[in-house]
Amino acid sequence: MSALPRYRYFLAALMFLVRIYAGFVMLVPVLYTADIAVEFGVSSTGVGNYIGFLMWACAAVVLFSGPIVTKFGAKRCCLIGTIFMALGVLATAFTPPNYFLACAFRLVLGLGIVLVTVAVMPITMTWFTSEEYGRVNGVLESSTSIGILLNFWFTPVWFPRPLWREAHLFYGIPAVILAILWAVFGRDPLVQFKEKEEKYFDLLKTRLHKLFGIKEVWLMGGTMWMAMGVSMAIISWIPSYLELEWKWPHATAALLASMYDLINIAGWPLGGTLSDKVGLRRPFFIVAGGMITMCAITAVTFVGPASWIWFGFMGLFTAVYGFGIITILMEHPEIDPELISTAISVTLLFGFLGGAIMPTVFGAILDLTGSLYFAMIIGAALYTLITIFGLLIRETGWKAAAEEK
Amino acid sequence: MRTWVKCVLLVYVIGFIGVALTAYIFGIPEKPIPKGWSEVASDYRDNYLGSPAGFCVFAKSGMPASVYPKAVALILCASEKFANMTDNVVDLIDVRAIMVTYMIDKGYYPGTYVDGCAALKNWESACNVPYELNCTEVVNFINENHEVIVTSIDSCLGE
Repeated sequence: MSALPRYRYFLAALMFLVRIYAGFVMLVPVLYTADIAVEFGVSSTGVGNYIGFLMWACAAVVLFSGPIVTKFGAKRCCLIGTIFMALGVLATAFTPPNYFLACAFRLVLGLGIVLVTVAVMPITMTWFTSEEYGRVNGVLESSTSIGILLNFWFTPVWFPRPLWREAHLFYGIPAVILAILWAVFGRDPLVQFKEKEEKYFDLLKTRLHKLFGIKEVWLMGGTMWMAMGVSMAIISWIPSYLELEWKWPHATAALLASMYDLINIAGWPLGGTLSDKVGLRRPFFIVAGGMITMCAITAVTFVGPASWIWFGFMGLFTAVYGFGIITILMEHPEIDPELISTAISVTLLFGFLGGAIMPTVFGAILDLTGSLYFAMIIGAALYTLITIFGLLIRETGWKAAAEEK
Repeated sequence: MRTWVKCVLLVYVIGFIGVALTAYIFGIPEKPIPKGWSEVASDYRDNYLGSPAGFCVFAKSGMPASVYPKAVALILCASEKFANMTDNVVDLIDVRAIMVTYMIDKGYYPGTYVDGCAALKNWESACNVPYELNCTEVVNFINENHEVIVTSIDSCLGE
């Protein structure tokens, strides 16, 4: 039996709620794209930029999250993050019709989300044993998808178009409650990490220099770009595509978008378990990329009952390769334990940049062509790159290692 | 051929069969008729009602500036819903009828539809809207389509 206090389960539940909230609020505006365009007098490119803007905050912080958490303390970081989320959401509710101000508030929300995400890591690491990491991290990592899912299920029902300000006003309340709960019940890591902060930037430079020489870091970065960027763009725009171009009811369009996350959560253990069993990683990338392309094209072309199935399959195949991005880096012989955290941060940086840029690209395609169909097809086609990356990466599974010996 | 290559190929083959079956069963669906705005209604929306025109019509109404964007979004949303339920084209009379119905039914302006329409006529003339507003025509239009107009407004309000 673990000697660690039972309080950790309560702490984990609190962190889970905070992260579900972060996932919930980040995509609320995607359900109101047309209304946002009218209110701020911007084109679809502007709306895409607004949606993706919070990812810029994530991209700006990700490489420096270690020193930030060390300097301010994990508990305080998480509290500040929750307060930022509350401020970002409430400010959005009261945004005057000024697009740049609206983007600034979205940046505050993004900063809150990234602070919360990075702050819970050291808390989990010290309050739980290594035997519990898999379970706890698995639950915490699923929280973003669960939050997105709940948003797509409930927001269109509670706040039909064009009530996006009312939605943000209402969603500000849980953030305030969570901030109070965290201030009272949140805890710092059991062991404090005293990293040599002043040397961090030199260390970072050396590590980046080493990592950029490894092909797999670039390939996994590119894959993360697809995983976070293209998927965020598709998820962000699919409700508008179905609602505006196919006249689906608001709530039904959002429900279809939720299929991706629902099946993705359910299928998450599938890829990793199967891959561990056969001892191979590459085939999962090779199969998933092309299949996601096929699923996405079919879902947006044969719009109707078939879309539900194919969009769900998209989520399933994302689960098939998703586990492998970090796994390949962890197993790579040239990436030692000292380098791994930076390697993961670099990969996430690619993902956040994709998340910031791709929704804007989709909006620009909508402005240029007058239809989101072309954007969806281009996004879908980009997924084939994952298959190509899968052909290029080094096999790191145990079977390959055993064959080498 | 290695086992994993066979498995990958098998998944792709199953995928292609799935796509073919989808195409066979459902066929390529046709998009619903797009909700269009008539030329006059578009001009009214862009140059007298919406943000590019500084929300002129609403500005003349004395409404607080903070609610202009929301009010415009509501009117545009209701006009499109109304068009979807009728002839799929948003005409100027649709927009005007929705504005008058909304302000009278919700109590934002006192009186009857005739009073509301007269007020709208004043605001429009202050904005130099070049399209004549015939209040008899608008009020008749409201009376004929009242239920659909209310449904359109309510669906955009989320009621």
